[in-house]
Amino acid sequence: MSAQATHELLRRYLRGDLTAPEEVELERRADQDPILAEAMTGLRSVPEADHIIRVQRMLASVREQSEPAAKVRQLSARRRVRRPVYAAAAAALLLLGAIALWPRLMPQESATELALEEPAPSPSPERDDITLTPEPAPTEEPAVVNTPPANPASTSPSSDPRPRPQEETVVPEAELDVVVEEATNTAPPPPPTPLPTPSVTPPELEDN
Amino acid sequence: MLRLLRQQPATTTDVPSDAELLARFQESTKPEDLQPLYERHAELIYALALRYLSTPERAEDAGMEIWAVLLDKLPKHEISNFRSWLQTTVRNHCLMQLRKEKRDPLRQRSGEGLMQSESLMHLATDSSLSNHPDTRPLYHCLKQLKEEQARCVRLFYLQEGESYQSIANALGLSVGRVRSHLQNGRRNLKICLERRQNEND
Repeated sequence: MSAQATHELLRRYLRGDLTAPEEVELERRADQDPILAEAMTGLRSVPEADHIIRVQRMLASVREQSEPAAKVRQLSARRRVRRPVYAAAAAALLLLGAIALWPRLMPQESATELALEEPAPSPSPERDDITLTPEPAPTEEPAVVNTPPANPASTSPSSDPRPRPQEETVVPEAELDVVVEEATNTAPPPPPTPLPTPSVTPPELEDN
Repeated sequence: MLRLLRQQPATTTDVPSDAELLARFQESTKPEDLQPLYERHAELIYALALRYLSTPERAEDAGMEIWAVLLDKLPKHEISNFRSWLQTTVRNHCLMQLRKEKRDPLRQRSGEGLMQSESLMHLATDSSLSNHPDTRPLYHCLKQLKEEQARCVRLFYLQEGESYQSIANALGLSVGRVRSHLQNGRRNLKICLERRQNEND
């Protein structure tokens, strides 16, 4: 018989599913096959051990290591497809924002208009997280920040979170990059659904 | 006509050989392509590591380490017989570990000296066993065994279709305990039979 059936017999032996005739067959093969004989010697040296659990843990550990690699490849492929789309969407929003804001030079602006404004560059620590996806952020900021020159710094804290609604559509997928970064760095991969990154998602927008 | 069609071997295309799985991995070097090969031989890897390292825990750890070794080394070598290469690799990996720990490599295990399963099977097949001169010593020795060993031996070899698991269920023991009883039983039977043979000589 082929060597492949031997590994099946061995598995059945470990599981305790072997019947007497099958054991005879396994032993007959071990007589002919020194590798199998070594394996049987090993297993028989500790007959009471739960060998199956050990093998299952080996397999689980190996699966953990090989599947994230496959997942990263999938995510990378998706990312490559989506980036140009985001860049286009971001550019379109940028343009609309600029057009909407152009006549508005007054600092007293409504909340919705503030939403279209870009925040002041300095007090925006959450921007650092967006650097993971460099394309959307830097291209947006300079153009819109320049248009309302009278935008005082006092409004910036409140204006900081506002632009998020438009960007929210961009960020979630961008967070996949965060997932990928983390997946390659840590052994157990975090779930690919939106990560709890509080600095990026401010409180008022968490239910988005 | 139908018989001819049925004889078409679908199995060769359904189940890839070690060589095929190996070739696939060596070409792509993707971990996902190594996985089927590793999974097929996981029990063997563990058992061999246990042979060399003596404890299940260290065998388990070695088994996991071997994955990384395979991932690294397989693409670099031309391998005609994967199983042989695998055994050599596991052995070398374990020996290296033992040398680092300065332990005695390849300590002889007491797993040797078991009575042949095949001989015990004859207990079940012969009809007038108690009268047959050749089996009398076996029956005599069987009576010498400890209760739990004798019980397991009788169930496994005399009853048809019993497995370690089914015996474990019937007797309320773990599979490991049944395995242990059977092994000890077989060893004791062999010792007893050899003693009787020496006495008769």
